[in-house]
Amino acid sequence: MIRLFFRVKKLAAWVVAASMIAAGCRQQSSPIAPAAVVPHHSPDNAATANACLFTDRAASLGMEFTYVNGSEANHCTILESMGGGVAWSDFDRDGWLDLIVTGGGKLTADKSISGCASALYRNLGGHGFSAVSRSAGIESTALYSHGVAIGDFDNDGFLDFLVTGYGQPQLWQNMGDGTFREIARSAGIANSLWSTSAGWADLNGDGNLDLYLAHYVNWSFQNHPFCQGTDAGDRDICPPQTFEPLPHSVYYSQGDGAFRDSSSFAGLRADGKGLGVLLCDIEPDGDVDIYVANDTTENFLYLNDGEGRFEESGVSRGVAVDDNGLPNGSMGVDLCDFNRDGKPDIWVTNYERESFAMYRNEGNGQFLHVSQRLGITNLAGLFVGFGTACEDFDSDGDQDLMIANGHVIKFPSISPRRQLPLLLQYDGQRFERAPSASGSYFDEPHEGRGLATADYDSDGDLDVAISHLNEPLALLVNEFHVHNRWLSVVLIGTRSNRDAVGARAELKTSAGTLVRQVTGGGSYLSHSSRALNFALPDQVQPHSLVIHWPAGAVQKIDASSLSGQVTLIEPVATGSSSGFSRQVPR
Amino acid sequence: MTEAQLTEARASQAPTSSQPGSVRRGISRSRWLLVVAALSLFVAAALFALWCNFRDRQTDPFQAALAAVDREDLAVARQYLAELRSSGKHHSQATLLRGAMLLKKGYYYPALDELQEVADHADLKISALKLIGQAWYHLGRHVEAQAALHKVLREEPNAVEAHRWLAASYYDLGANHDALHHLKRTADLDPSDHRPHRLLGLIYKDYERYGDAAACYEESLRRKDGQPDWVDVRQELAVCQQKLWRFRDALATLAPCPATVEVSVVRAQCQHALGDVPSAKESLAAVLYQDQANLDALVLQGTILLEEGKTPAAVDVFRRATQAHPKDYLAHFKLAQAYTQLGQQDRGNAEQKLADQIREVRKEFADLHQVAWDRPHDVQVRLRLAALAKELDRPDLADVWLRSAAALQPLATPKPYGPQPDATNRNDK
Repeated sequence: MIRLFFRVKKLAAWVVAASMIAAGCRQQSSPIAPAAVVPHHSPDNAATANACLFTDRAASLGMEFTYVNGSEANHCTILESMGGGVAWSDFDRDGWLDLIVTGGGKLTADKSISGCASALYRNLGGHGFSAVSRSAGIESTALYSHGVAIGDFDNDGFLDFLVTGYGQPQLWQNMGDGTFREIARSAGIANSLWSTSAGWADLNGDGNLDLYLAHYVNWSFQNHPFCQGTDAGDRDICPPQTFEPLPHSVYYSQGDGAFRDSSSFAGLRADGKGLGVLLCDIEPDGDVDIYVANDTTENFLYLNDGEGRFEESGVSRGVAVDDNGLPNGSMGVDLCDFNRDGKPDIWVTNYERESFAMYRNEGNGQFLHVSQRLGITNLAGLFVGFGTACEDFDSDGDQDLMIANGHVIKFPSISPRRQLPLLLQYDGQRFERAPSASGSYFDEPHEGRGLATADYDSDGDLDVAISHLNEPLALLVNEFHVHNRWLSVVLIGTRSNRDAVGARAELKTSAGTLVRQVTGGGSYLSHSSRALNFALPDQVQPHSLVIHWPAGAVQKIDASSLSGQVTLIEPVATGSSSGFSRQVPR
Repeated sequence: MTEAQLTEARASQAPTSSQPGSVRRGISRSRWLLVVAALSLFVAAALFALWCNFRDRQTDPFQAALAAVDREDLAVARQYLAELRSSGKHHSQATLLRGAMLLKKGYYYPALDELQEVADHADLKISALKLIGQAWYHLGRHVEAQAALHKVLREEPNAVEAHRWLAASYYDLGANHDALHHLKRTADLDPSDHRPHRLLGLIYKDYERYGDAAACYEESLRRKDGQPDWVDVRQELAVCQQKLWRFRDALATLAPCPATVEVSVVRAQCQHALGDVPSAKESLAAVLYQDQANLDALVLQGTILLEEGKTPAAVDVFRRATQAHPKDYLAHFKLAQAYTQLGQQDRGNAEQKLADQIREVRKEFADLHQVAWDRPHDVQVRLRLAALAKELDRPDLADVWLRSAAALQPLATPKPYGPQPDATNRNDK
């Protein structure tokens, strides 16, 4: 039986609307209206369309945490420039998204490297957070940590997570009772190379989550040259060009909770200095492809043959270099459909004096770097971009771009170490930078790194967690207060991997089709909520929701009455199917 | 038309009886005024010349003569020379003056013959050495020029002309550390001179130090906005601002400039970078109307066509660009991209291969440029730069580096640059 769970929240109160059950159960029957062109900013939204309305409420909501990088030891290592990640996930399955943040580490005068514990914050019903790291058993200082990747690798319904960093990564298995245990080595992930971003997805189509682990460069204290700062005598952090790249790794699940290193089988290149990883169905042909944002080397696009072997096609597909044919210092990455043509575009944040890259999907397997045309180069190249997300933050129906910025060296000459974060809103032609209120988070410079989005308070708009270097974590609460209709779809795979990575949702509306995809990895060192978010301006009517599951099933649901949070479970039967729905009160 | 209308029309066209006489009177009055004005101007000019002559004689005839040479008034300088010779007392001054005049006329060796005669004269030494330095510079003999000019600076550290010529000499040799030093000294010593900052800007721009370059161009314009090459200076400044991603500043810099090809290209690039495609297209049209083979314009036009999904048209444009500029990396890269978009993978790969080859040469060229900066007397680096410039189809740059190498070591023969295999220890068979 096909089940569709609804979780609906209107304003602050949960309302169980019986009518939704009936509405949701209806089979799709009405024809889908032809796509109509509507303004990207409806008049109702005009007042808020250009504002950047987020408030940092981390401290008041109980999250006081700082990622530290050990820079006080003054070694000026490239290790210090990486920063940490943030990840949203409902670890305890109480329906509220919890947050995990990596802690970084310390360097000592005698050149030893140690870790600082990561933190897990349990969401208390959208009204606050409680630190539960100790009770969860994740307070390990064994790893100088960077990134975090969420995935239910053992398919038990409880989300596990992997922490990357300088040394053996940690795989924390969720025991389902609020505790975790670290099992990386015993699970076959024995790897001491410096890892940054990671992503979970079923790469070989066996229904189990596999792991892509990006590695960076061969820095160590034994390979730590002096690099000159701006002024004579000043030591600065060496650029990545100083070091050799490390080969990345792919671990394929054996279906029993263990993994095997399948990097050779997968056909990975060995010359990328990996920082960002995005696992998604780029082509889309039903299998998960891999995009890797590399620092100063060409970005990789691995196209999947459906069996877990890849052909690296970044250059031939137009996503390896910028519009001058040069590799960039790429950091963050996200999947996008900014122009609402239904074809997945790739969004990449880069180093200063390099445009952040929007690779527009041309629909013939090719991509085109269109940042200039979109006005993205108008950002003046003054930003070193890291964590990023392509989401509809102002709920106006199209996707915007958010970027956490900050420099990587101690004595930068072009732009400062602490940089303003950015929110870029799309006006149908170009992206424009949203102005920020004086004194707000977006009005203050930061050393931003990891960024992840989630509707943590289930009020229908997307909030953002951002990790900084040596500065408290920020939780940006969305205060656009656009009370449009919204839909947040969580997919649960049955035949496909349980996390449904690679699943594609098409919401057909009176204004055209909005397409979203469940991805692995994304952003920088971080993991956003897997919910697929749709905001619908007042005059736009949803007609149907079509889910393309990775295992091949196509599920079609009447969306005319859908609203709020929806959980969809993959049909057990193969082939196309209509959906049955059930609303489940929290 | 009726007869009456015709008559009326003729009557309206015919002069009235009083008109011919008044026209004649008007003409003769105008002529008279013109004659008076011309006479007045002539008298004023004659009086000014007399005053200048009088002033010069009152100050120092020898200095006045040198000033006349400086302003290329050689007739006046010859008068002074005759006077100095006829006096019989100022033989050395006359020699130096003659040397200065020969130098000004481009007779460098004869000028040197004259000037060397007075190079040890107690009072004239500094002036002579300054001119000797200039003469050697014009002959491309930079070592000798620099030696003479440095002698001047040892005696007179603030000799602005010596700094100026040393800067030019070092610049020609690609010895930019030294060129920058002397340009800065020139600029400090003569705050009214706009030229040093222009050259400073050029040097920084060549070495992709666009922030420093922009500041220098801005200072040059601050010193004299209406300088003779103001359009070029603004265009160079705008290029730097564009490279610094200050697109709006670049457009503001170019606002007062006429729509020359160079100006319009930068305008188009900045407009495109700001996402203002319609304006970019207008600017491009202005460029291509004047110069159909303009590389930057063709590349941008093709890029816009690609963005708009007009891939076959983009291919045509990029092909024109590569045909006109076969050694341009970006044109080949874009053509490769366009072929690939069209599904012509083989052609795309071939173009990409060409682009990669060109990029390798360009990279070596850029790296060696930096080496030349750090090693101002390395002949082999300059010869290699010349060879690479030739390979990149830039004979102008090749010529610059060849001249630079020749100036350092006139009889140098090209040798491969870089570590050479040790002939006595070859185990790498």
